[in-house]
Amino acid sequence: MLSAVAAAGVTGCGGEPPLRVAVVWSGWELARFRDVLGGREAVVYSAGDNIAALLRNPVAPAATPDVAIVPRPGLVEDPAICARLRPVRSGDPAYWRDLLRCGPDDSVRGVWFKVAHKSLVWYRPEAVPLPPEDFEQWLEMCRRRALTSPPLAIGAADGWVLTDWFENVLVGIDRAAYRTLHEKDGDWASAPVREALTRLARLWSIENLLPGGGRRALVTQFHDSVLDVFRYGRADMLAAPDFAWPVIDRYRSPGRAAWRFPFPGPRGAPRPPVVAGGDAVVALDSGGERGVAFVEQLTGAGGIAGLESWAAAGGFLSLNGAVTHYPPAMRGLAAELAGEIEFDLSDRLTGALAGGDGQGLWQVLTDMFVAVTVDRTRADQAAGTAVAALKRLSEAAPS
Amino acid sequence: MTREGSFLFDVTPHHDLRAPARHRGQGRWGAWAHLLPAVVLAVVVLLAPLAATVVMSVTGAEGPAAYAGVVTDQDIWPALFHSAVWLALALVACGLGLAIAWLAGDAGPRSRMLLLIALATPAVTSPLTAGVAFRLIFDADPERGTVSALLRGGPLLLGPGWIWLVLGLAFVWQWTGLAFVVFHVGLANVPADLLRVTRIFGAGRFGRLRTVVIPALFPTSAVAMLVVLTAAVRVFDLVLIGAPGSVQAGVDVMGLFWWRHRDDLGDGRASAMAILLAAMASAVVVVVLWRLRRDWPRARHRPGDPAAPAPARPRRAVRVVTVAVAVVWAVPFAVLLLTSLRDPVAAATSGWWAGGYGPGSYGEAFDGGAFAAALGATAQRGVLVAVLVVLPAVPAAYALTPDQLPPRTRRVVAAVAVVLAVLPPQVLAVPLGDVLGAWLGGTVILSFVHAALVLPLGVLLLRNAFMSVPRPVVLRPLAQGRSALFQMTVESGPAVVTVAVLAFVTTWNDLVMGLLLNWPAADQAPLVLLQQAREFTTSAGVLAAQAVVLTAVPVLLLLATGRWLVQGLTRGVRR
Repeated sequence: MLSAVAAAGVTGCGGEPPLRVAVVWSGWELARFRDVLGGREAVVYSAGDNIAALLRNPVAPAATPDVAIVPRPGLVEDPAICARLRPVRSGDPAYWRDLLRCGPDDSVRGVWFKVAHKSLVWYRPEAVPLPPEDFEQWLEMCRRRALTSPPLAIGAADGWVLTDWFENVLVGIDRAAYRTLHEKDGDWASAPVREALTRLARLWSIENLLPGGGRRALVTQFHDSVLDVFRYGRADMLAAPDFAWPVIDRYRSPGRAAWRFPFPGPRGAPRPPVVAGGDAVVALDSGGERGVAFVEQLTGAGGIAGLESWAAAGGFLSLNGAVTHYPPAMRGLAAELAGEIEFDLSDRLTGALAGGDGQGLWQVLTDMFVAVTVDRTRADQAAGTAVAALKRLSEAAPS
Repeated sequence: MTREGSFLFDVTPHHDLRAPARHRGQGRWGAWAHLLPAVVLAVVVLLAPLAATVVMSVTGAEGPAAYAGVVTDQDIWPALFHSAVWLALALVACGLGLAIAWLAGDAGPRSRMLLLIALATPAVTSPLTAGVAFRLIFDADPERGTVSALLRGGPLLLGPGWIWLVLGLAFVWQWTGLAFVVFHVGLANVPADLLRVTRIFGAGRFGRLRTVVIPALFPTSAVAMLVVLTAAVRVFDLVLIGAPGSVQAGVDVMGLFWWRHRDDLGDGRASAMAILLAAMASAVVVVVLWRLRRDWPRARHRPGDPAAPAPARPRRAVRVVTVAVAVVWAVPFAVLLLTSLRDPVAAATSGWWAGGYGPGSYGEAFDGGAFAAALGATAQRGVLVAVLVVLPAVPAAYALTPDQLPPRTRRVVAAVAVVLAVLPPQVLAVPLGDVLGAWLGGTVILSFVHAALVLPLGVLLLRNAFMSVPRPVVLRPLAQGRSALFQMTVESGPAVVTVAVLAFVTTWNDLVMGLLLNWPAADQAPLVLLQQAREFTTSAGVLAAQAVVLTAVPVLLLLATGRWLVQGLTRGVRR
């Protein structure tokens, strides 16, 4: 027994050990990633939301993986992480490629593997006969519908659901302001931010907006909100990224259709850009040249067959134009992501505004959600509190 | 104990069978040599990193003001308060265990055995499993959650505030059993003549409890309380999996807060916070277990004495209550098992009563081979840790018996062991990671860390058992100046098994150390579960299946070694 354990401990020394790949997915998505890898030899670990800690400041330096899937480019910009990453060749569109530049030479240190379209609202066509043209119309529609039954489902237990809401509203109001907020001196007390938060608070504070009310929404995760609409029919729509599709498809009631409309912008304004997110793959120093080769092979021409396997299963969009086998419900989305987009703001934040459960922007928006849905605070007042909190956090961020 | 109480204690007959020559033969150096392996392990893996963390806490950017910074930080206060609540809950679990044991004293042997199994099993499951089971039961959706289905339109039990009830119940469910096991044997052995004497002296029911029963339950109950308090200090995974993301900030404990905010706090404050948590834990155990500083009373062993007393005629009401308690305790396991036996889609969209049974969840649980590989790696580590704990703990416990080291030394060593037993891993993780970083890729080093964390408790448990070994067994080798280690170890077989099982189960269930130190290379099975839980509802079937597998191993171990475990845990009970 002991010798077996010892042997397991030293296999790292001889020959070429399989690469250690840390990913952010679990469950169904992790299984799809394994399909993408096909026969490649690699040990795949799920690091989940905590991958930042693993890359930035692993308690044990030797615990660092060789290749990692990074869920937000803010991590690549982090100097402590950037110093560990190797430059890689990327075939991504210029806007996307530039998001992954860092270091003294400003070289590209990652390639986009899976991108997400976050400006979508999925709905049941029998409950929503005519999709709204703009935010004002949507607000009115929700108000009217709420008199009889809850129109929306929001998975407020997951902070990123709320940040996606905020980003979609803000990018429609003032795209230029949206672009500067992730910078260190971003002005979080500016008028567009306040306006976006107020609009959001106004929508969220509609009486009977959510099945079970705000309290229940707080314990409703993203997948639960999908079930609320497409399984139990308790709500009519939910704002959710493209990767909601496989969940809808697997768990919806038999025969129930799922359609989508773009997240509505303000009345009279030009159509807002798409808010996009994504997971990039990076090669760490510990993996050496093998890690770099792995990244380039996974995302390059040689990896198309693997990418197609996940694309066909749904919930996967690639920037690689050669990937085409998307299910009907997801067609056209990948093309939109190569066009007018703004990258997910919360994924680019650093310092005290960043972070997951209980931290930064996530927590501020959760607090505002509680204020308007549970405590029934007035919309402008709740937005004011949120602005103050955001300002405080942005000033606390270490320079 | 009051003076009156100690008087009563002194009038009980007390045969002194100590060997006449106490420190002859192998001498004190020999005793120290016995202690050496355990001391080396504890110093390298526990004390040195602890010291390093203390140094870091006062040499950070702010200097010693880091402590003031932590104490005055408005965001840390709730976490500090929550940690204190968990420590209080540990005492509640122990009290409940005592109450049920008191009640079960009148039940028949069969109901008592039923209770024993039902209550003790949760203690060997991982907090992660407990979290999964309770989140399934209290799911806010009436289509899925058992309790929500029963109380349609009632409170949202996973929401802010109420979440405490769910997590608290999970904790009490897990740990009451351990206290019960110890107390129910202990209560049965409370000297009846002594009780009669106290009654004649006019002591009421409460007075008898205070002056006779509780002292008689020492020191075994102390070890049980130590285990439960340690679990309370290390609460981490239960919150992580049991509370939905949006309410987690409201139930953060110090250990979790430290893990989440280590980066923004800076080295100085993060270390200061870890030290404060350790200090709080030590303070509580020192207050609760104050008597551990003294030599524990020696137990006299009557060979052939059955652990359970001759049962009185069980009363029907008592039997009904006992069975009811056993049934309630079995509910979380039943829900877990039923959920695991359902198809993943059925498990995600409806409760266990809605049908849809099939093996699909188990299929998905093992899909890809990652979970099976993690189980293998975790089991291997568990076995190695069991060996690594028993080897140094046996001689160390022997060195702490009265014929070896002088009383003052023993007292100091025992006190240090008690404090080390409750150390939260957060206080060690950073220095350990820095120093062992280069080798942590191998599971072997991680095993030493696990071993060191279990070691203090192992030594205390074994010492209890060694002290209750009948004197005649060890008199001869001692009189001849030889070591009685072998005889004592053989006599205390059940306690050795208990320590090995404790080490294995702790390692098997560990999440925190794997997460802090060696993750993800650790390949620890509970980590696979935790990652699976990001979207709890749609993973319910798979999570339940993995939790059942994860629980099956320690439960089978418990059932296989149960008799020894009860003996091993209660050997030091004063008889």
